Amino acid sequence: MRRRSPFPVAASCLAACCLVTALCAALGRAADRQLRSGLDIFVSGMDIVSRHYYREVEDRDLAYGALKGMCSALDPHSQFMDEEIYREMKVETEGAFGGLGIEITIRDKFLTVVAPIEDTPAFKAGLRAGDRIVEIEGVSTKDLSLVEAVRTLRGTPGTVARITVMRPSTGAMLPFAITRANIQIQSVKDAGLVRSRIGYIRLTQFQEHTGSDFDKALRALAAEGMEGLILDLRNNPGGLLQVAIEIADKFIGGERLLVYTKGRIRTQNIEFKSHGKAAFPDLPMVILVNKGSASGSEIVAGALQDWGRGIILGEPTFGKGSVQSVLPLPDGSALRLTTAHYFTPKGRVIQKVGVQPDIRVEMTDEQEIKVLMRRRLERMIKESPEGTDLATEKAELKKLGEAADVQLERALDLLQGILAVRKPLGATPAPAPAKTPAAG
Amino acid sequence: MRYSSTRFPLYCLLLMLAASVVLSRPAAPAGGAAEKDGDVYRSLDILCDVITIIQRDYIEKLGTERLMQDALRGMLASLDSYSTYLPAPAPRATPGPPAGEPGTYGLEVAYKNRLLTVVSPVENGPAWKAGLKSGDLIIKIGEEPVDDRPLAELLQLFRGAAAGELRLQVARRGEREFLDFTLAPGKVEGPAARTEMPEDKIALLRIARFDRGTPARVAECLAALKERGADGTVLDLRDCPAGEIEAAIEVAGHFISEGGLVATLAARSDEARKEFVSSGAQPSAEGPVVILVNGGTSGAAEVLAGALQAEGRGVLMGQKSFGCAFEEGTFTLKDGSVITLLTAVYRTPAGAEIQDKGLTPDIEVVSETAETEAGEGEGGEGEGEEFEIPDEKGEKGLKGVKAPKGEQETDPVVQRAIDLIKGMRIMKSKEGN
Repeated sequence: MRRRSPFPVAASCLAACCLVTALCAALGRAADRQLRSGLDIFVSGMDIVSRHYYREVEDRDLAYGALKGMCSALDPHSQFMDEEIYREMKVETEGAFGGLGIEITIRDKFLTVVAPIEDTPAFKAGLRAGDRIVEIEGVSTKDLSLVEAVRTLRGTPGTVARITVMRPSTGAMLPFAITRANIQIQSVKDAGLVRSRIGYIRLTQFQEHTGSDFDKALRALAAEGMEGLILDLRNNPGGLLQVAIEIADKFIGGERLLVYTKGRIRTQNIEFKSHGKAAFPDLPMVILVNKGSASGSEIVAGALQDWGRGIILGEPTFGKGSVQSVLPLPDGSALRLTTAHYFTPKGRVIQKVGVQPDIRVEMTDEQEIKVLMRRRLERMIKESPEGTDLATEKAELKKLGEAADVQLERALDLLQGILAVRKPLGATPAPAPAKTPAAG
Repeated sequence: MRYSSTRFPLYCLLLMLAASVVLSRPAAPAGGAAEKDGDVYRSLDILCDVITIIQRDYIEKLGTERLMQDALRGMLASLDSYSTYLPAPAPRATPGPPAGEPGTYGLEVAYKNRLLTVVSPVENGPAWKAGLKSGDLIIKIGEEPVDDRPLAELLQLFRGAAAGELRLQVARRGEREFLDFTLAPGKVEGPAARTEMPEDKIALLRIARFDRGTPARVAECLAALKERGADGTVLDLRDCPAGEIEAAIEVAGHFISEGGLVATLAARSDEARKEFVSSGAQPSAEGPVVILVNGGTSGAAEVLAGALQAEGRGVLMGQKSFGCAFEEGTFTLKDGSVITLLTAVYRTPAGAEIQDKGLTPDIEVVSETAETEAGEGEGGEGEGEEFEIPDEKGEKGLKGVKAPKGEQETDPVVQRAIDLIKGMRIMKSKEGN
């Protein structure tokens, strides 16, 4: 046994040597030389560890450690998945799981809440966009990959996830115990007319039914006499790309470019275009965004902005616009690799940069929390069956006082102004403020 | 196959390199040799595949050198929180203050749960005076977030003779906001060990740190105690971080009879493996021993505490210790990059590894307030009442504590240790009868 192994190795080594020499000479490629010297250093490092580390470590574990390190150093979304993690990833993307209702990513090396989704346990517990999850069940999240983090946060509905969150705006370390639930989200929210003729729709994410629900809501508003629309994409972490495209498609007609992906290899370059007639090609629009608007939201906002189909109002968006491909490897493991970035029709990259609002209106965390609380209380009061004791809710609401949604107010003023100057001649002129910009 | 074109020469290259690993290794044990060699090929094969894919498909074009550095960094990081890979040797630290004025922050840090954690500030050192506490998490050094700065580099910063002021932003459990500290390098003042006799014939021996002078100082203390007829010792090793392990082994000689096992150093290579036995140093400590430990007890102090516990020479009381006792080795690769590796770890005479696991006390004292109150050095009569008093005898002891002077009288953990020694004495005297 002992003697058997080196011999074939030596033989194949010799053969390999000849081949390599021949090939390298023939090709003379610098890249190969570079790779060779790189591998050489790696192998010598591996050798030192196997001989001098205080305990024995399997070569496979060393190689996997190396692969994990190499891939996660690329960017937060690239990752080496060993067999087990890959298998679980495949199961998870298919099945339904209980969760907390947050979209998370890794930002500045911290596991960061992109946005809590409305009406989910995380939202009710008070998690905020930008919160950094520093611990899950008492264990630091520092070296946790995104997939691993998602896996630990998910679980059977009814079980409790304990997390510790660092809130950058205050530096506070906040512990949360959040009960997992089946996350079923009504993604089209609060559709209605404001100031009699301005439609308002909030999309909390882009999921399977969002497109058709959105369509229904739009048609209903149009039937009620909607003349302008406020599309609220604040704290919308994204979702299905196809659905985001479907939304943009309703406002941009023809065969116009909505978004495209671009990578280093050609197969990664894909254009997504609108098809045919837009349902609402001329409807004046204001799109509300904030730092919790990510991915799909940024695609919609970017397309509408580039085609001059709406005014973007609010804060710069999150900046999440990369495309990952999953590449299975021969030993059952797999590689998740960022292979392309999303670009807006005018060629602006979304990743890290985000979409910049045309009109910047900031809201402090405190203002935002107040608005969200107010919204929740109002809904509770409205939706509770008659006879429910709502005294505490009403008192709380009163205590909140004027919790103005500054961004929404500004959007309403803007749209009202646009509608006023847009009135065709002959119609009764509305007292429009002259300073309102007539944006296209 | 998707990547057939580039793969063939790569594969050959790989075979060759793998072969060089196999051949350069010491002969593997007969059984698993063939299997293990196959493993090396497969492991490197996947690595090559992945490099090829990344270089072709990834959104950015990346050189091999960078990928290899990240691979080595990842490999070392997967081992433990100490082993590191540095692409270039760490730059020499700025020259320290003039000789004779040792500049230190007196602060021991380590990665715990992957967060940079204060093991403990050294008693009477600059960090201790500034108010840093065991368990504090360091978030920022100056303006720089700690992130994944390699420990080797950080240890040099904290231990080494740094020149200037150091600003730290710290997260502390129970605090809602970050805490800021500014440390000026200075001296660790006061003796490494001190002693008193709070009650009749029961000695309190506090060791604050283990440096070269500690064994001699401990010997002095023990001699003084012996003169006063001490028969029973409370050995206080709480918040006693890192230090010189040899010093701890020497100190163990006062407690464990000559030739008794103190610790072993476990390693893969024969030359790194070691056993440490007691020198039977005089004077020896008489009577029962209770050793106080907590989360700030680490390194040398853990070796000492672990030895006494495993040899049945003392009872461990307090909280789980930090879990850090190792030897490291530094290896330079031919491109000048450096691997720092845990080459050996200390084990107690019972064979338990201290590294990462820490020592579990025989008697756990859960209360956190016990420590902070003790640290503040202010005592009220009611303080002791928060703690359970084991029996009637214990209660008497607690009342008796008001009489003698000294700041330690208000430390309820010490009081519990004293009670325990009394109890052990009584049991022993009954056995004798």
